[in-house]
Amino acid sequence: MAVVSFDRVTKVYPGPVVAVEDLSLEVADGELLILVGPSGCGKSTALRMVAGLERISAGTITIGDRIVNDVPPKDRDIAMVFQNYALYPHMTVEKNLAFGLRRRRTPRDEVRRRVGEVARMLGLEDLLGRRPGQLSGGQRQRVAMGRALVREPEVFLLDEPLSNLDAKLRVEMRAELKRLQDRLRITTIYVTHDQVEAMTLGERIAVLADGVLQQVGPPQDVYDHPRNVFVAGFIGSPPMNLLRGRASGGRIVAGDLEIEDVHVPDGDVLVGIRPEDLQPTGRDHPGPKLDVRVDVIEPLGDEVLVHGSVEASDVDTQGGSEDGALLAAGTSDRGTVRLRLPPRERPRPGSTLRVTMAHDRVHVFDAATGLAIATR
Amino acid sequence: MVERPRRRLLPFDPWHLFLAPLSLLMLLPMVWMVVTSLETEAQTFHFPPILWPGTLRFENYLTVIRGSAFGTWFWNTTVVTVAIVLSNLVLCTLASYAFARIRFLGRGVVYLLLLATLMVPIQVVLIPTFLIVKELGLLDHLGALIVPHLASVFGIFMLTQFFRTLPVELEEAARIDGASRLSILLRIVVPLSLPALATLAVIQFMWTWNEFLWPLVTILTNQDAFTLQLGLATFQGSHQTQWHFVAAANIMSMLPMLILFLVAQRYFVRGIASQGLKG
Repeated sequence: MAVVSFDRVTKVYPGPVVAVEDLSLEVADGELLILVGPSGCGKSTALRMVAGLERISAGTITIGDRIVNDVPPKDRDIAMVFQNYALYPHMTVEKNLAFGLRRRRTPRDEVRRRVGEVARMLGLEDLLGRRPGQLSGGQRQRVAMGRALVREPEVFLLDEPLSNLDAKLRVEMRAELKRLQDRLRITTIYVTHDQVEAMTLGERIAVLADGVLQQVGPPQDVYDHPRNVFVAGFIGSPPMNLLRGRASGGRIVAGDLEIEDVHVPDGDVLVGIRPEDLQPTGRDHPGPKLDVRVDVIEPLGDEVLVHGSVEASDVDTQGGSEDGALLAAGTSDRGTVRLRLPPRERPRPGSTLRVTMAHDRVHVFDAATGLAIATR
Repeated sequence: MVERPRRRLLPFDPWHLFLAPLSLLMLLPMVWMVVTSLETEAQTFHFPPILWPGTLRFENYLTVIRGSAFGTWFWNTTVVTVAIVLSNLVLCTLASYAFARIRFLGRGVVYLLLLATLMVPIQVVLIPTFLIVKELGLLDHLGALIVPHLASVFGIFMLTQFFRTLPVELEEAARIDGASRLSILLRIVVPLSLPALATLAVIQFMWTWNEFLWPLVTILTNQDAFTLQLGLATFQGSHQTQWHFVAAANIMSMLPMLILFLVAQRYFVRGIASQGLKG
């Protein structure tokens, strides 16, 4: 078991392209930490640096009490599961599992015992004689997990391990991973772009964008208190609604939305409200209200997703990263808003829906820096 | 729209009507050679050619074997070919892996220079290579045939291109599993490259086995170092040629090639390197 820590780690590819910038992060002993972010945000690079597959341009990575910057992968006592599994196609499942142990000159009896144990744990006993080409996607995934587990490593590195599975299998494997982690308590770094995986699996999640760490914390904390607009827009599906507004004298105005009694310095702000925090309300509701023109409704069975537009401009947090900025202005002056309604609600497209929100569910961000502003 | 099966006039694809005669045509020289090898000398000069000699004179083959140093030639060619094929497999694999996977200063330049030599015609390097071999004291010796061809640029090129197509994750996984570079090469890369290696072996075998010019230039007087192709040439005199013996000797010299093709055929299948990945 070991603590993994990144200390001001930077990775620059020739170009120069900065893949990871000044990353400082500590993964506690036995913890499962999720590195999450959009593709190209540097999360895989960060993982590969821990594995020793990428050189570190600056800073140090420590596993246990050892700085591993110059330690070759095989001496780091780590195991990794690749996104495409990377099983050795010419070897049977048994040989795939045993390969790492054999390279480390583990006695044959010990190899057999450990392979048997892992095969039992993952339900691979009947597949030991098969080759990867004869396995289904889910079985390959298990073998890939098994190949990592059998080594009993200090640190477990998972690079989008579930992204090649179909939806049903992904849910099953997610639960299975969680069970495994609860049982084995191996320090694990798990890279994903899937925020459902991030929310459900991790004890803590670390959100990355453009190589820069945005926020670290327990999933619910990150969801409830995003530190900036990027995190607000990335975590949560559908993403948080963000509207441009202006604060002055303890009052925020964003289009026809007015929020009274907030303690925010004067200036341009972004108002963020999660889709589930927008509640339909009557005409004469006294609190803050917003008129949403319904464009499209998506009944999902357990809820109804409404896409609508409001009299306020919105911002897009995901699309604007080309020039390094985390924000990009919405194109029209009517902003898009999404809200979640109970399963039986069916507002007519074209109709107008008046919604309100609880005061304490409103997030406010500085429009210039994108940072969250405390409202109390 | 559903495509209706067309009514078939023939129990086979009409293309066969064109392709079958064409393959017979391709086979004709081969058949003619086999027939010639079983004829009398008089029959070989008959015009039009006799395609069915009546009695088959298998003793032509014995005459060739007994009347010439055929056994020596065959042995020499075998030694040269096997040595070259084996050393090519080893050396080209090592060089190609370095070009495909190891970063080193000047890798691209060296690789391009090597490739450039593929464009130099053999006639240009014939004399310099001859002089080198002479300096090494290998003239008139089988070594003269082996040493210059221990590794081939073609082989390096072919294997490098193949190795580059192997998924790099397999090697990364092996590195994490604790395999050394050499171990990765031997346990992961080579087993996944059998189709490419088999192809290289067959091509190299064919080239070496059939090589005529280079042995002609370097094996001057030493009859004991004659290869098959040199030996076969001695059957063709400047005044007369005994075609039935030439044909018989040629067929015997072709046999190893045919056998090799049949044996190696099963390796010329689609590689399996991507089967351990997602899917």
